[in-house]
Amino acid sequence: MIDASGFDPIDSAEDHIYELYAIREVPEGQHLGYFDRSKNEIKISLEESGIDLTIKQSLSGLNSTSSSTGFICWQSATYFLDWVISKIDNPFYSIFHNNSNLVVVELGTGVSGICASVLGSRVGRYIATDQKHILKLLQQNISDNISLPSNSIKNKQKQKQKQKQKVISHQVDVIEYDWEYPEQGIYNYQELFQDASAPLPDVIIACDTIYNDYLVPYFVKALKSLMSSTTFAIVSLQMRDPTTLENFVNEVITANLKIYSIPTHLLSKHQQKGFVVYYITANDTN
Amino acid sequence: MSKITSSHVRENVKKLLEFSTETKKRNFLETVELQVGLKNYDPQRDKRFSGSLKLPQVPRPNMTICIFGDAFDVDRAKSIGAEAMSVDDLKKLNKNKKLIKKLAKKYNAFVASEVLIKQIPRLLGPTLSKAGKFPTPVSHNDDLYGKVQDVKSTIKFQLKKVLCLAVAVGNVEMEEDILVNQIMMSANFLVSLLKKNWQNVGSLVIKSTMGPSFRIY
Repeated sequence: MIDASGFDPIDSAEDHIYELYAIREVPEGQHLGYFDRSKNEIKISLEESGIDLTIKQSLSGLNSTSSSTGFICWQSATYFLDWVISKIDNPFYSIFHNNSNLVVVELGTGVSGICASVLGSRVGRYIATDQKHILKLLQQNISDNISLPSNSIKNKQKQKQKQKQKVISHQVDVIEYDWEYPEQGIYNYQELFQDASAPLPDVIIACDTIYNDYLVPYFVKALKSLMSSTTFAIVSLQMRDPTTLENFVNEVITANLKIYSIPTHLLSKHQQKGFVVYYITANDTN
Repeated sequence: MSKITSSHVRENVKKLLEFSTETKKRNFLETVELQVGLKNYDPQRDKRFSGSLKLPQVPRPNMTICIFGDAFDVDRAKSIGAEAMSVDDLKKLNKNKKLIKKLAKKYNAFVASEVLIKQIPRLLGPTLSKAGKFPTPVSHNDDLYGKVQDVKSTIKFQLKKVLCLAVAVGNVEMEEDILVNQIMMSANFLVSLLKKNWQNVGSLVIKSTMGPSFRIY
């Protein structure tokens, strides 16, 4: 579905990381990558696509002790979203412009849900996932920002109440998928389709999901569990610690997946320094 | 929303400079370090940060830089009095791990001609990457002296597996105003790298190489 011939295939994580950090060096002054952590309600204007979003985030959640990264909106998601829908020569442009029937799963959506709100109405079914404590605010943000009647946005609990609700096109769902418990996540996914043999998604999206070593193996396993032989994943990351990024690329290769880096010239000007977008598929040589 | 004030930093800078330029002046240029202790931070679970900031003045003028150059850049390096190695020089290391490690240790940072960037891992292996010393590319259109100065004035904050880190932000021959500014800029940038802002900062200390510590936060 996607022609990867123009992408840079990665065989050696070491060489890739070297070139990435030497050539696409992180600009000086780049902070941790939050969009705005001074307010609980933020307005995001996507420069190229002209889309405005009003997002609620939780600073108290961010400052809590447990897993809290998902409580605010991160820059790399805003850059990714604006790029994927506006830059005509980006390799994924057609997916989100041809009124497709594709099933898309997003991993680690976070409370902001900006990709779900904007991309959800452009594909057949969009399933935003995260840890349980993120879902409530996520769902509210999607309801507030998506250009769909609100009854097409459902989460697991609501769905249980309205078991037989008619499936309409352009449906956005919110389910729990904790990378440390992929079996439960897959179960939640199948439950959405009320079918234990429901086909795996066509596309998986993840923004800024790699930022420490601990989560890398869990993330890759969670990703692979959702991939069929035809699924492809787009993983958009901010370049922080090079060792962590190298671990991630190595883990993907070890998991027998094929990983490509989208070449710099296909990225937006914001992404060209300090960000990286990966395209991951099953390894067809096996 | 800075949690440290420049007047408070200035008081401490005064004491630091007084010690290092009057009380006990050393016969080498002492570096001033910002030492950071983090708290409420789980290096395993939280965002592992990495960031760089360009300061107005070079913190350590004696910082060593080596230029991996093509013929044009090796010549330019000579004319500005910078150390340089050609592709042939690198080939002479013969991929010898000990020699390459020595090279990685000898210099604080590396600059490389744009055309050579991709060849360097073939010549030197992973040692530079492992040390986090990715060379900065320079093109023939760039001003090489300016590039070297940029590299020298850029400081790096990178959290490893422990909750403390230290960064050179200046030296004891700097003017008080300059030093205060460099410390304020560095401290505020560090905070921008932390998920919970000042809530992640346990302590900030400034210290000259041989002098006592002064706590600023």
